[in-house]
Amino acid sequence: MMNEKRKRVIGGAVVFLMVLVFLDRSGAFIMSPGGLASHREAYIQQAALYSAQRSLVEEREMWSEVYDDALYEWERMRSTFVQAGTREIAEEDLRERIAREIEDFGLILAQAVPVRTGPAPEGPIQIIELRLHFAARDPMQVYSVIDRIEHMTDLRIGVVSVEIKGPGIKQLPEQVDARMIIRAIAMIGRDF
Amino acid sequence: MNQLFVQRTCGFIYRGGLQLVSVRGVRLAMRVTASRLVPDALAASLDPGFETFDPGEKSRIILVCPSSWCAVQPIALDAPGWSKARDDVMASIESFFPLPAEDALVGYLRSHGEYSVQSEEAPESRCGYLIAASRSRLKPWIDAIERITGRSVDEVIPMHAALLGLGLQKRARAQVLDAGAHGVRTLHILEYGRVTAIEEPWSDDAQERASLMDEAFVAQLPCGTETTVSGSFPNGAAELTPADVALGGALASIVAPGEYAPMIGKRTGAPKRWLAPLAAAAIAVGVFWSAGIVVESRFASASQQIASAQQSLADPLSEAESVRSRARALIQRIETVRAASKDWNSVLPVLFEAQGALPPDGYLYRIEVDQSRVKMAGEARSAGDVLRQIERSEVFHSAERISTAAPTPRGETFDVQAQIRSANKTGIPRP
Repeated sequence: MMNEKRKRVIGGAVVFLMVLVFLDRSGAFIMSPGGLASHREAYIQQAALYSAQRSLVEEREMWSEVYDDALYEWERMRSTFVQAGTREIAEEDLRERIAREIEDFGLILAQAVPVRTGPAPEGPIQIIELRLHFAARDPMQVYSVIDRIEHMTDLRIGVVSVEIKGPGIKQLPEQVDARMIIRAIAMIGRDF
Repeated sequence: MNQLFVQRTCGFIYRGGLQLVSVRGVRLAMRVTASRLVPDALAASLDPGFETFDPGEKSRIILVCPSSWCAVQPIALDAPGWSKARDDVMASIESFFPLPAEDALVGYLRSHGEYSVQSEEAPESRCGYLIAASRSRLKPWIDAIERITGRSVDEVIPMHAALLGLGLQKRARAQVLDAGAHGVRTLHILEYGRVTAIEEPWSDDAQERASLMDEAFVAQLPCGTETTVSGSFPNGAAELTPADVALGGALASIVAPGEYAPMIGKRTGAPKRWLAPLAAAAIAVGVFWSAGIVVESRFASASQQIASAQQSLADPLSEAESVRSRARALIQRIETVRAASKDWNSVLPVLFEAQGALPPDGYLYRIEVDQSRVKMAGEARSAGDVLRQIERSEVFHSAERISTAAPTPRGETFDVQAQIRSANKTGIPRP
């Protein structure tokens, strides 16, 4: 008799606890609107944010060194830009500079036209292009000019395309006709 | 011959209305012999100090009615059943006892065990006894007590109910000898302090006494004739004094609530057996309910601590963020420039390679080089040789004619184009 009663009591207690556990798992005992998960989630997010902030503070010296290195690199890089107040002035500066380089070979820059394709670029860092036209005595002179342009250490510049006509047997001496497109990086306006 | 046990019983101080905190004390019972059993003479026979003693506001006055004044009748009613059927029983009390209904004081005593009254209507464990006494016989004593104490008697209980408070709860089996009316001794049997039978016949047989001593604790109620039966037992029986009985009567309602109903007074409620499980369930629910709140509050507290730590970190954090953002902006600018100029490779190697594809006796009329292609036009001994030579070059591939070759005095014209291999287009990025 006592065993039966004990079994009933223990069984009832077990069922009761199971109901409690079920209700607890289903969130019935959570009183706040967001529930326990929201508190935990908020805490985890806040803790993660704080951890990231602490890491950033601890990395301040490292970021300072990175900034110094980047600034040195940027200053070095910026010195190779065509710096001007407007794009047109930058193109004119580049044209004059290329004309001087060509004149060093005894040649004359016959034409230098800016190449504009698509909408005007935005931002201070822009690529400017010039279409050049000049005559040379032989192809080697043209190659020398190209080599000079491609190795201008004070400008970040490159040759996009080259078209050389002559000196085939149908051309006369000093009738090498060279056309090329060059491009350079310009910084328009003031440094930011 | 007869005894009344009047006790200035216990001082009950309740906290929260439920819990007994202390028992203030029990005064010795007053014992009056039969020769003084005249109510009017009671007060005079008492010591002067007892004439006007103050029992205290919170004490209860219980009058224990001797068993010899009581008539006992088994009844197939348990304690709850008695509470419900009391009025009906009282209406027909004359069929139970030879007492007029208006003179009957009836109490109830619950009985347990095999000595209970057998009944088909109720299980044996739920049976009990009706115990009745004459109101007119008790009234002079009640009045006398009230004159002495200045207060009314709170309860009148039979001697049988006082057995519950004798402290026999640790005894598996106890038998209490009672010298009843006219010297007829009876036996009250208790198991673990609960009454299983009362008014069982007692035999003075020596063998029965020996077996009684072997199997149970034996006690003997006080006897007004000053004669006891303890001498009949080899080891003697525990002799209970009137004070023991008075104390038993005072404690009966505490140690055995719900086991009896007094003849006068309010019946003490049965212990609420559901209270402990209910409390346990409430505690369990509380623990489950509060666990979530506790955890939430801990998370909230931790969040607050983090927030305060973040505030103290504000200045160095702002400085570090500034440095980092400036560094990132510079790096982004540098990467932008590098990405824009990474494919700016020299065209000279391509030009020289194309020139090299021309036979020594050939002439180049035109050469065009852009980012991905080279076009050549000229005159050579064999246009096919030019085409094959270009194709053999590691710089070019997919060489093809643009127009058909035309014969010339020195050979034929050629007009070809080829794609520049990607390795030569990308090359090593410029610094």
